[in-house]
Amino acid sequence: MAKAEYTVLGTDMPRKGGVERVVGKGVYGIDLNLPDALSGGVLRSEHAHAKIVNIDTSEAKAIPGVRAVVTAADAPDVRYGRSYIDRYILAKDKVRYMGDPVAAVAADSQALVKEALGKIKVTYEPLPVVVDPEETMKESAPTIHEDMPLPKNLPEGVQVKNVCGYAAVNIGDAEAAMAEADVVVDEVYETKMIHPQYLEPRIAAARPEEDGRITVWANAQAPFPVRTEVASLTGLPLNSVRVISTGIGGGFGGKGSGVTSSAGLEPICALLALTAKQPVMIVMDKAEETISTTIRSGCKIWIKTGAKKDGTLVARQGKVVYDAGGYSGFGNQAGGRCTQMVGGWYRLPNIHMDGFTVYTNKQVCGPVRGPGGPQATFAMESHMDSLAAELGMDPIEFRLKNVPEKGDGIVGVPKLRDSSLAETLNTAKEKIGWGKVKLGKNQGIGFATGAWIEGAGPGGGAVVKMNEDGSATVHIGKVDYGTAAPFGIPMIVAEVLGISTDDVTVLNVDTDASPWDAGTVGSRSMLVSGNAVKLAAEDARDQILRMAAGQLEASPEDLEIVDRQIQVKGAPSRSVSLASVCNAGHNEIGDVIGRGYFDSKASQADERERGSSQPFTTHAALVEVDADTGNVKILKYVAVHDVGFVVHPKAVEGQIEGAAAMSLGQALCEQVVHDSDGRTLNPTFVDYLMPTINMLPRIEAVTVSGYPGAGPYGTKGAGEIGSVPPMACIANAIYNATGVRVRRLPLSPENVLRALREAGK
Amino acid sequence: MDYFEPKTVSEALSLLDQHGDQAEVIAGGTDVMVDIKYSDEPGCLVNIKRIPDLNAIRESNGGVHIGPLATIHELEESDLVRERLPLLWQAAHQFASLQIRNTATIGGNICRASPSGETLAPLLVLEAQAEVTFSDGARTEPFGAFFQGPGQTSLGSRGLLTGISVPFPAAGSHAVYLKHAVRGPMDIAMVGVAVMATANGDKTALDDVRIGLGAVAPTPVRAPKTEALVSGKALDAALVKEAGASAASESSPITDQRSSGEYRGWIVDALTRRGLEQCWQALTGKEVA
Ligand SMILES: Cc1cc2nc3c(=O)[nH]c(=O)nc-3n(C[C@H](O)[C@H](O)[C@H](O)COP(=O)(O)OP(=O)(O)OC[C@H]3O[C@@H](n4cnc5c(N)ncnc54)[C@H](O)[C@@H]3O)c2cc1C
Repeated sequence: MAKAEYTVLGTDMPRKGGVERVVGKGVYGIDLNLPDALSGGVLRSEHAHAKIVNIDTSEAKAIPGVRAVVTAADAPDVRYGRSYIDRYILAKDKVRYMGDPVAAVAADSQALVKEALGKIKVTYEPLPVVVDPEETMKESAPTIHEDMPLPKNLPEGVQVKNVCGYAAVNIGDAEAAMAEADVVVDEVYETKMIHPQYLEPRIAAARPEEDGRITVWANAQAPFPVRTEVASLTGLPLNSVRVISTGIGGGFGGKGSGVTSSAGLEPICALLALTAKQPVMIVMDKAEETISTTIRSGCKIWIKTGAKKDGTLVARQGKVVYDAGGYSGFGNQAGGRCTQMVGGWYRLPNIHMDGFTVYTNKQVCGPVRGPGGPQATFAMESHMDSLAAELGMDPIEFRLKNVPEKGDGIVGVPKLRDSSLAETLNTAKEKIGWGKVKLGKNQGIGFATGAWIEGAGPGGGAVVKMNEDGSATVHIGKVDYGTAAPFGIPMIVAEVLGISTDDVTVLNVDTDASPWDAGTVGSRSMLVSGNAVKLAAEDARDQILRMAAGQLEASPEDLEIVDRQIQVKGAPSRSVSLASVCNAGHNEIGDVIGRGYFDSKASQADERERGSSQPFTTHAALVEVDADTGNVKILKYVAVHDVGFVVHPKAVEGQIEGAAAMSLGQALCEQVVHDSDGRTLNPTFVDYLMPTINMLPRIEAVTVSGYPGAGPYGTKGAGEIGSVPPMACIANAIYNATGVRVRRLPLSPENVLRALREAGK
Repeated sequence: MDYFEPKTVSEALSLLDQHGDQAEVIAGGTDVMVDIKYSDEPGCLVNIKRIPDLNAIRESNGGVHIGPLATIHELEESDLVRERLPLLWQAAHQFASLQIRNTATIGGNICRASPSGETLAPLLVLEAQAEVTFSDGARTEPFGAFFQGPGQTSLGSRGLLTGISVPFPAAGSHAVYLKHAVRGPMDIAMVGVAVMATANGDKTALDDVRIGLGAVAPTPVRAPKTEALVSGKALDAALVKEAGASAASESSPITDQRSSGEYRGWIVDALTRRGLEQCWQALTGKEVA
């Protein structure tokens, strides 16, 4: 479909910067080579919860070659955070998880850094530790933040503690409707913390400049929030801080929440550089990252749903307890999203949900791929299967009975203008062979649907600057970490301007030059930067055509640009080269600079008015369970997605496969394990089990079309939604294979075998 | 940290004598390099990889002589090992990724003495002998005596493992190595079970059943009671079930972040049953009924 309409869109052009990445060129943060840079390192708390009585840095400072030793006392008395402003650049008075940064050192060598860190003497007064998110809400639990109030929106009469976020869903009258249900299923689900485990380690580098400014290099997904936070935490004016984005070797949202994500690495590095008056670079160790940077939280979900005998859903009630960790981080946002998503995306007239996000003495929540969604969906879509079983219905038929249709509202969306959910269900059913393949012993098929409601968020701009050879240089605020920046963005510019993607250079983010942006998160790169860059390219094209119109003695509307030639539509011989017009433009308007802005507010108003088209998905898996060991082998996996218009099929496929693989890891083996003292027991890759390729099936990514979204040309976000269904999908397949419902992640051999034994299988 | 590359065994031994506890031998380094990163650096490294002729795999005295520097991949590639020591070959084949197998040595696997080391339970079952050398001489000892605890061997800090001799298993024997780990070969074994047996003349019973258990005790262990339980008998479903439970009771697994001790016990049970069933089928041509 795409190919006929468009020249560039819909093709699989090679990723910009792909070859450099594959052959090991120095594109990543860790490859940065700053002349005369000192090494930096961070001292991390050895206690999950303790008062800091004293920090003695004198011995560390006395070591020759140590150029700076800093603690909270060396920084302004300022805190950072999103919903709760609850965290200092370095822990002050108290530490709240093992890994909390306490002090930092810059020295001539890494060995000296290590030595100096060992010489810093911190006197702690240990406090009781709480790691369980349910325990932390009880009166008897230790208080984690003495000066943080309970959320203002907490319903009256709720007696809780250590809560830093509350979200509710209230639609209809769930209690009354539940009484009318023929069948009610009431369950509890639990998920564990995982770390996003991007392969490239976190880095930060900072260089004080001659003019009093500071340049910070970061492999963060959100350079502008990093700039704001570095300025406020070091006490510099905003315009004295310049943040340059390095190439990023994966982030998955783990690098997405300003300096929260890195546990303050960028401002700490800046503070060291300002103190030492020399450039400093810090590279985090993998184990250090696992214990200190942001994670996908574990949560506990209570879900109860009532349905009529014919399968019509009537009511849902539930509760979510979501673990923010030692600081609020992204907890409130992710916990709120999770609570909404437990409400589901089916036609359900009566829903009541309470969601509590809580402090514990663990690593801090970040916006990891689909924040809150995979956890919610593990519970919600497993629960849908339990309901189907209780009703004696086919799980596909049961879901189809309740899918929303055009004009319906679902949680978080007042009105849908169309709904692809049914088509994804039917396609997945077909592709996996439901009812057709002959299942062997202990084999089963499972399905789970997913949604990723496009949320509200700030807009963003783009600038397309034409060069005199007809090529274009593009500024956007989203970083290149393998999503839109190296794929969709240059393709849109090339399409609009009639040039090749080879002629388009997309600059990585430099806060001194790039348009402001909230961060490369939320599957919003195409929506925000894609829309903006389309407008910017069109603006540039209009300027060019106006100039060419004079030369060609035609009106601008009658002109088109094809393959770097500006020609009269229908009379291609009347043409002039794009390069010559851009060049001549220097004497007429200066540079051709196109500008575009994605107006988020207007887009949302329009979506409310027309109804919105949301991405939906259904995944299907065929598994075999080893009833002797509990081992689950995935034999076939299909991921059917509606991501609206597909600009770059391979990039979309890659996102779906990667997102599914990431959640299959959480489904089968991944978890951060803590002991009761809050110590991470598996910080290295020896013990933190990421799935290896021998565990993963071929993921067959399928897209359905005909449901254009709010992105440019009708795209929808594709980066996160693939991570939403897999955990429930595998749990449902295990259920289909064995008749046993596992409600706790991971679906590891041990947890599966335990469940089988408990069920007497 | 000092670094030495001795060219002979005696040179290496004198370095060990000289530096005592401060010295750490390094072969493939796949354990040592990881340890250096996460614990204190040793005083010095003694790299034995440059000592010639310590990686031989050859037939000798009714068995196979294996040099400690033979890599796991060399074992896997060796026809002698594949044909005559299939149990060891299976363990090598399920050992990590090719990159690790190319680097890791069998000597390192043995001397690291991790209870989960892949080759350890097979060597116990094969009744192999360790050739250990100190500056005052060499001796041979069975691996049952060599392994003394997690990370502890009879080498102490001054000995080198200089050879491994593995007698050929009895003609007509069959052996199975089963590894259980979440990621299969790409992971440290939660449980490893090695089973080897022969059949009696008319193929109605198993003889000389040997069962080795890895990762479920401070050292790799044999399961003598279970071996006695099934040796000389025809396998049926009831006996297999009993043997599984018996092997589990002969293990003493710990609980750690990978799994609970209880679960490891279930797996010893399951893999022992599986190993015995596979041996029975291979040796008699019949399924366990
Ligand atoms: C990613 C990864 C995956 C792994 N997977 C597995 C696996 O699946 N199964 C498994 O069993 N192991 C596994 N290991 C562990 C390791 O690879 C093995 O134990 C390997 O056999 C060690 O051999 P090496 O030559 O690398 O030993 P080294 O690291 O060089 O040494 C290991 C120990 O043995 C000592 N040593 C070595 N040779 C001698 C000698 N001749 N005499 C005296 N002392 C000696 C050293 O001092 C050290 O204490 C894995 C390791 C990694 C990093």
